[in-house]
Amino acid sequence: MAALTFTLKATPPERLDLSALVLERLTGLDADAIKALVVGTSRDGLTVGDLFDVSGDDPADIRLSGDERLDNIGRGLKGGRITVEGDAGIYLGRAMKAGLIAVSGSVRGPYAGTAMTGGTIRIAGDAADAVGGAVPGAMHGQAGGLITVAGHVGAYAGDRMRRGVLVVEGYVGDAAGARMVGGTILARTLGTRAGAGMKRGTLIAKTVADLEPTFVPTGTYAMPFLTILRKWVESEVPGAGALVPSNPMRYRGDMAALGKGEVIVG
Amino acid sequence: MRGEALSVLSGHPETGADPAIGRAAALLGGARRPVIAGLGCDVDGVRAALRLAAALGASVDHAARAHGRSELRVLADSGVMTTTVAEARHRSDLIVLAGPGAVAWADHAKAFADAGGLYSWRGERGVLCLATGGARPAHVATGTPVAALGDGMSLHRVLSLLRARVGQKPVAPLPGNGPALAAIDAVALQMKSAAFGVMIVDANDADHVTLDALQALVKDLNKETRFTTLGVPAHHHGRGAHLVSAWTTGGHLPVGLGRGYPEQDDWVHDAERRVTAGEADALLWIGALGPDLPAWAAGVPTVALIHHGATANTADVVIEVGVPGVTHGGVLMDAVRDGFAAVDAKAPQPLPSVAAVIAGIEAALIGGNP
Repeated sequence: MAALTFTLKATPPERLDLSALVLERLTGLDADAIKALVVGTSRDGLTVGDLFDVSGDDPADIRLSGDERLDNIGRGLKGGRITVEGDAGIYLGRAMKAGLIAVSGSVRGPYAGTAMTGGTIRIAGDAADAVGGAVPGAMHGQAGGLITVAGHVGAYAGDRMRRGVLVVEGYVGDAAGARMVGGTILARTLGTRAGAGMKRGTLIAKTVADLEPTFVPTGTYAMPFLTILRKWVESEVPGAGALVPSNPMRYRGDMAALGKGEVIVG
Repeated sequence: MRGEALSVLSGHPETGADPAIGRAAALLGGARRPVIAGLGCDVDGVRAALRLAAALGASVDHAARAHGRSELRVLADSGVMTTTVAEARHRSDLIVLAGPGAVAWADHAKAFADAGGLYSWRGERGVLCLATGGARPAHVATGTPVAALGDGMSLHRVLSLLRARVGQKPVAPLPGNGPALAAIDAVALQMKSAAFGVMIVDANDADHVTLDALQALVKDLNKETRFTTLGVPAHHHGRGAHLVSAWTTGGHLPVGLGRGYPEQDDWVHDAERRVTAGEADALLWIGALGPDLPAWAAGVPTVALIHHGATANTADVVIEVGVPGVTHGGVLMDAVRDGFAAVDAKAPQPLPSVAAVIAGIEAALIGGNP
């Protein structure tokens, strides 16, 4: 079977909702049925066939040509692999449970990996705000799985994150790990207000910009779990293991909230 | 329908609106992805705008972005404690002005210009300024000197430090140029000692994380005393517009109707983002109560409904409308009474309302070629 490939005929005229293009919703559909799926978000009711050239027949291996207007890629994904050649929009991998989403460009819309409980998202470029963060009104952001970003990410990364790991090889914007209740964010540099209002969870970075005074220094440690984490990160994201420090400074906080989280810097 | 709707306007030929309505209907009816924004108008105007949006498949947004994106987000995220201006004025023995916007509003609205004497058992009113950048209220009656904390700090940091100290948790050593720990503890004690404190904040001074911290501080204080908050009313009838959207579509603004059913999404349907990203092909700007047409509207074909004296240089069709409560009556959110109120015209003029103009556009769509 050949990879099920969706090639954009032209830049889409509007934002597209691609939540239908996942393994469990394409299984059993023939080429005509796939082309008839409505993905447009205006009253034009644009279909897959209007916008994409479709080839291949394996819904467990989906390839998409990317664009920043493609929303909900891999939403609720339960298995299989989605490869995006180019950029992606809002809600990439939202609430995914298993499988792999790989983006060769950047994610231009917020909330990538929000409410995901398993699987892996790999972003080769940058990502916008609230990667692994909660959408408005949601109790949790990322709740499992792994997100890796080779570039930089915007503000509110891991806002209300609950579980799982977010690895950013570049810089993270304002309020990373805000209101976090669990999980791990590993980055080169954290921006201002890191961990604002976090209850539990772990933030790890080489440097942190202007850490809030509600994070209390607790000393310098050689923590055994960092060795295990470094080995695991290196196996998942080759080269990123070096982001895990060996003899870091540890801060506890946010004392404004429960205060059982930690920021590890070194 | 067409005759009826236009007859509303035909009594006012001096506005010259009728041919303009035809051009507006042609511009909007030919669009595939229109945006309705600004939305500074009365309840009837917002209802008409949502009805037109359903017919056009448009996105609808209001200019008071901070109210929808931050204040209503925290309401949905964590819940809020809130009160009315009248309760705050009469019952509160500690008014906390959090951020410079709160000071500006307290002075402008003069809601606390007198001590509020409904309850003899209430003690003297105290006033506390948090992270106001040196601003102090000039028109707030107080029985004690105005206290302040964190003039040189961000509101987020001041609230976080107070949350930590109210909860008797440690904080890191503070830099020499900031407040001393004793000063933070004194303010924490002042807040705990209040019988009924009210924290006033302008959503424009804070994002959702900071507003969430403010609400969490209030919840913490309620373990020992009574404390609540009061949001500075959103400008250009923002609260009213969001409420109309909530009871009409089930969600606050912005909301999109492109797929024939309402979809609430703060990012996707944000009017400014949609226009600047080239995702909109027409804009209906409603500014009966303001604001002026923004610069970002220059890039898209625009119909502007504006009040007398406003300018909309980049608009293709400009229709002058009346102002509810000034040139004609209308229903508006009353921020002081915290409810909708019918207001009469102060200076009646034969100008059409937003609702009448939109009804005319809608009728022209049906009669014409949508």
